[in-house]
Amino acid sequence: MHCHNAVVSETLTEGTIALIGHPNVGKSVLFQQLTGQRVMVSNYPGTTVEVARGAVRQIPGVALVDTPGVVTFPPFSEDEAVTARVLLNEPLRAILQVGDAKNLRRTLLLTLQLAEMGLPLVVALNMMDEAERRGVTLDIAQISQQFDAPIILTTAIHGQGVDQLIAALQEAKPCRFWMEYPADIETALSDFQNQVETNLSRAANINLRALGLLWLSGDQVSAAWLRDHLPAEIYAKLESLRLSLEAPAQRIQQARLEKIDSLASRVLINVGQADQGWSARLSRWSTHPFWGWVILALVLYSLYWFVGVFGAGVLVGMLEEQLFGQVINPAVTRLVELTIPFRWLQEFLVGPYGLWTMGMTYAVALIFPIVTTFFLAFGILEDSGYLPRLAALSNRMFKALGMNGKAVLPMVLGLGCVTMAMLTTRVLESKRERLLATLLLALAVPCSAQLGVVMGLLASVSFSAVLIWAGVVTLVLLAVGWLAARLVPGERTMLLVELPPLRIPQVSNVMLKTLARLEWYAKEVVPLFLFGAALMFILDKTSLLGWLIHAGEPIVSGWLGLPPQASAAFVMGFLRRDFGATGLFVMEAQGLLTPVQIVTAMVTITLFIPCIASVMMIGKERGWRIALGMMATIIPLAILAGGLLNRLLLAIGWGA
Amino acid sequence: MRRFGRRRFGQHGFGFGRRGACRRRFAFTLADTPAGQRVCLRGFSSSLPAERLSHLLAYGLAPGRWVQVIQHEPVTVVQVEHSELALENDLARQIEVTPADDSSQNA
Ligand SMILES: Nc1nc2c(ncn2[C@@H]2O[C@H](COP(=O)(O)OP(=O)(O)OP(=O)(O)O)[C@@H](O)[C@H]2O)c(=O)[nH]1
Ligand SMILES: [Mg+2]
Repeated sequence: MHCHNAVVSETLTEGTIALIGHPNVGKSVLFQQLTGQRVMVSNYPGTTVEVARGAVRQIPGVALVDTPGVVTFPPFSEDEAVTARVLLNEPLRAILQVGDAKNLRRTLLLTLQLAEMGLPLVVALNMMDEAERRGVTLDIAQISQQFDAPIILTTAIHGQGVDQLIAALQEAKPCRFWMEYPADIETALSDFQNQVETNLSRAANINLRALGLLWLSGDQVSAAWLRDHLPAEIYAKLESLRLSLEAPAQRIQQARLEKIDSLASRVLINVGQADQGWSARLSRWSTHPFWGWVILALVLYSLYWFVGVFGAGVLVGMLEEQLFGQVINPAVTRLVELTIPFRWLQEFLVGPYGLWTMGMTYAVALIFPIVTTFFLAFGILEDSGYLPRLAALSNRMFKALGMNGKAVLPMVLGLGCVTMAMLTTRVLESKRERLLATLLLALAVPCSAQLGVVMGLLASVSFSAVLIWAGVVTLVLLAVGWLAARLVPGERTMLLVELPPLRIPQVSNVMLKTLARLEWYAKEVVPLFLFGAALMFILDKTSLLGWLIHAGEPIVSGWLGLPPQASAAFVMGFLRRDFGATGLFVMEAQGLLTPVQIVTAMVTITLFIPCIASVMMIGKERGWRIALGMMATIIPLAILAGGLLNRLLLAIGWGA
Repeated sequence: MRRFGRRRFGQHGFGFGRRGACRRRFAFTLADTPAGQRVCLRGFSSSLPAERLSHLLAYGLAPGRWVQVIQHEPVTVVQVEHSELALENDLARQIEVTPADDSSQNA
């Protein structure tokens, strides 16, 4: 048999290993265990949407890539395609499959496909703690023998089995697993091999037989690869070869299913009992047609209480009034007045609107507690496994918006960081759904940095101001989503999502995620906030504001009903929504805004383009034409909605 | 034409009674299965998109396998092995099943 894999030495000392497996089985936890590098781990399918790389600590010279989860090959969603590309393009030395031990049939179906590729393969049957609790017993030796690959039992979150895994990886040999398909497919496969073998411009990473099976199954990723590496006439021959077969994809999958069924009946010694504990009961309630909504209301109320009451109330009170107001700021002021002789510089730093007394105080004492409590609550929510249940609960609503409940995932993650959430739209099945979700993210989902500023500002007005802001933004989201679903051509995909077990979040993981996000906040948001405050100060002192005010007057004052100085804030808002909100924050501190103007300004700025980074992301993921189109839609829309709201609020006499 | 009766099942090469595990009686879909019941899967509607079909099979919703229906509202939830899958009712309506009368002997 022709072997296209790299020459294999006795033990593994260099090269790259790919971590591959179903979504949410613990690949990223294992990646952390093996490389010591931090990556996002959460309890929902679709946490990892891009590859991560790291060096394996215990095997010097060997690298590991973490990949997005795949349900099966050929891939259908964009995150699965990322993984398929790793298999084809990356010069891999071995595959480390991570699977869920309690779902053996599903796991082995993927093992079979990976084993066929001929690379050295090691299988980690993970979540053994949960499998054991359910009484699942397996004949590991027989599975291992069937696939010609070592099977290691692991409980990744406790580090169990990691040492054996490393040992197995070091010793892994090319996998010689082989299974037979229906006769016509076998013939097509040998035709494929004959055509491809001599004509490839670059040796394939995986077995030609496995490549052929992917090709016959209609895989887009391997099609693109073959088109790149074969002469056009050979590629055309392959196309007619595939067309000559009847439903090859389904028959290949059927043959595999049968193989796994017969194998599973031999190796599954005990199939175990369904989980009957608190997790299973809570899971029922959380997707119950009535209690599901009650639980959602409870979750939202807890979030409001923790972030709004405890974070924005208690913590802010302590930090802002006591720590900063009575201790730090007086000390800093005295220090500045003693050491800096220039009056204007003193004012710039510690005056009523100074960089420290206003900028730093707000960034640290006001917004920091709000985002910290929010990140904590967010991490707990992610790790509990509640988010996929939310997908089930909200499926009807997203149906009206032309998507399915899975779209709730990027929407909720957008509350953390819109730019990252745009990457997560990859988990949606069709191009159209990814487009719709990206549009709504860019338009109406405020990220944590912005939420912090907006909440801090609106809370100073009244609770009803918060409600109006949230209500109007939600309304715009629903209206635009509904309209876009009718204007953008294409079909929606029906919901199919796995509900992982509800789990008690690991304190360490929630803490580490919160710290990582706070680091982002401290590095990226706080400096911008200070820069914004400084810019407003300078504009104010130098009358540079003059021409800006003049230019923006018709829209800012005429239509939105804001003081003319707000033009500057909106210009800053082009860079970043929260940056623009900062400008408005400064104006509010100077007593320039009425409650109506604050609400109008916050709604307008929330509906603005999120930030430059997100525009780059839209361009990269969806194309530049779409990015420009979205900007051209969103900016006028934001201004339109703001102006209408202003008129409405004035008409009903709100806040007067 | 919404209901199963007039749809053609057994397409995609996943025909009836593939492994003799469940014999054909009458067309009955996952959406019609009362919550709490275990059923044996038989086949799929021909209008099911290939990409949904492939994922269903990979998740273990394959002909000859047994699943337990947990609920239907707001979406259908089934238990397959030790995991729960949520699927839209319209998708459940495209999956043909045989109600279990002898579910005890199968796993
Ligand atoms: N009980 C238990 N939970 C685990 C184990 N391994 C991982 N988990 C949990 O499973 C969830 C998913 O883990 P991840 O590492 O994010 O899974 P993944 O395979 O990278 O998921 P995707 O990136 O979404 O494909 C997390 O909540 C982990 O804490 C395990 O061995 N036992
Ligand atoms: Mg991951």
